[in-house]
Amino acid sequence: MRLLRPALAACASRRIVLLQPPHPPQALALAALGLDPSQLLWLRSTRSADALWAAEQVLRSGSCGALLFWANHVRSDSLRRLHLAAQGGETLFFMLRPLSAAQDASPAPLRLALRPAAGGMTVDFIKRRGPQRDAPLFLPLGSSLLQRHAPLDRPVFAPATARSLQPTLVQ
Amino acid sequence: MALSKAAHIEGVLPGMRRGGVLMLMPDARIVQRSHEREAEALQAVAMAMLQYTPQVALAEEATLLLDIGASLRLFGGIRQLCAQVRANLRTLGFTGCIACAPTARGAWLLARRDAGRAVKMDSLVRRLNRLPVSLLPPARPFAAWFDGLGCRRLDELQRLPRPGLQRRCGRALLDMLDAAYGHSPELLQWIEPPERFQARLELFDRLEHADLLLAGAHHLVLQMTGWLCARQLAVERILLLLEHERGRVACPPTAVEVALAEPTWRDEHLMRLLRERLAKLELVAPVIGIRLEAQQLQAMAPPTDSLFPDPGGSEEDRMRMIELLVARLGTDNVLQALPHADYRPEIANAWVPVHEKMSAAARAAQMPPDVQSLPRPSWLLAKPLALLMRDHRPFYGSPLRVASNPERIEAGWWSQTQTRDYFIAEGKDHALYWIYRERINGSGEDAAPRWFLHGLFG
Repeated sequence: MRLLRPALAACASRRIVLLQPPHPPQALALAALGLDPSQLLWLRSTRSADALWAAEQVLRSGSCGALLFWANHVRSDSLRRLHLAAQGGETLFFMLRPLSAAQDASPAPLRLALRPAAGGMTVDFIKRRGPQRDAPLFLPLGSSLLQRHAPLDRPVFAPATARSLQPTLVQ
Repeated sequence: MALSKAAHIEGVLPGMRRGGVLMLMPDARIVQRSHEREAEALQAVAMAMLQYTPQVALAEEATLLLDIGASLRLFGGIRQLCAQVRANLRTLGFTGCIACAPTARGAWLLARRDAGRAVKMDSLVRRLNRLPVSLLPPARPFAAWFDGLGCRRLDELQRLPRPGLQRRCGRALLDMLDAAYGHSPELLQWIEPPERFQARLELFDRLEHADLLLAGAHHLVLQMTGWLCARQLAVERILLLLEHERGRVACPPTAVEVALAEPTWRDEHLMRLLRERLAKLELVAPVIGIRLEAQQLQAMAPPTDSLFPDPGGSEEDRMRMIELLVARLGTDNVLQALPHADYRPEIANAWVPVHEKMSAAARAAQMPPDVQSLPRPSWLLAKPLALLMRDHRPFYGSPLRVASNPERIEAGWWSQTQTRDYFIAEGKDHALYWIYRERINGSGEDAAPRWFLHGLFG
């Protein structure tokens, strides 16, 4: 979430939808990151078909600023449908999947693999526009959370982000 | 008598007896003609057509006359309008012939004969001239006489001397001819939409699956659209009642109530919501009829006066999307954040269904004064997870090393006392966790402090 913070803060005037996150999000933490709690919408569903349908409806309506979708298993034709729906609107669409899905094909224009590392996180570029980049990028994520000198990283569930409508990377 | 296309192909002709029909098509279904049902059907179609123009009149022989002179530009021209009317008829479950003419009687004649559209007066005159005389109801008793005269078409009828025609056939025939050719004005009785809307549809079969009811629901919703347009109202809540069998196994009708955040008078959004609701509905008994009532009505809102639409869509679009999500996922699964002013993190992180409203001032009052000072993880586990201890260190995938100063939270003495010391811990894979230690232990046998995992930093 801290990686996505600048991108999400840019569209904070409209709603941000969290679809099927692995754990309940904490509104105060996201408020500390700069996202207004009144603009957050948390969707959860028991069946993956319902989750995919909800993602498509959110993308088609085009009235939300960003959609973050956590999914474990998605078929490639569902991915393509979501990609088409995202291209038809202005919603930022981030899809977060486990690292094991990095091998599968996906229609997203930018795909990153995120892993926590000492002092920040390493970003592997699986797919991007332009030349292929094999060297991973290290992003130091400094934060005032820790008083001691300690690194700050993402939790264990670091997924492969299959992303559509790519914004500029975090500076 | 009316035949379906399949019957026509088999060779059944109008005027055949029942035995003859059954000999040609053994599995033909013969239904008695019921005038009440025909009148009901006509009334239903008339109500649905009110959305195009407030001037709809019922004419003889199952015909509807719509005065669309003022509606042409709104609906994009005559072809678009006819296509929309045809689509609506198909949704309502009927077939019809559509014809247009500058005069009402001319349109009636063209529709009876399915003779196409005439937009200008001279093309109307040309088409009318080709129609047979038997099409005019006042001329039908004198068909033999006209035949003897050799007068078969309307243009020949026009050439006959008028005083003679009037003496022989009566005034009605001449009036009708004048009206059709536009020589005399016409006065029609427009139908009045009723005060309250209530429509009913009897289904042919007993239906067991709720999603098959969608077509019937669309039929009723189209009628309601027409009524709303005629009365210039928008509906906020509709009630769809599914009637079950009568008699010994009678049970009260199942009610499906759909409430909208923004009142609407068009059918697309209502149909989307009804589709989701009916897909989830479980029927207790087979359904034999459906009834639709419009419950909460408001005046129609005027169109917006801003030139460019907002980039994020209007507030209406947002509400519609949320309603659709709620209809499919359920009210408890579409949640908005409403942080509660409490020190305990799991109580502070309250998410409520999206329709609950709270004013912005009340919302701001519940937020802590300085959000940046509290180190909170992005993800909070639904229930704290007890951690194993290894080498006197809490263990979650890898030994966790405490990496920050403790934060002591003691609250909830009125219900469930919570005395915890929260730490930010780091695992071997450099992932950050939010763990806490219970400060006061319950029973004396377990003297070591217990560690729990409560959140993950994202």
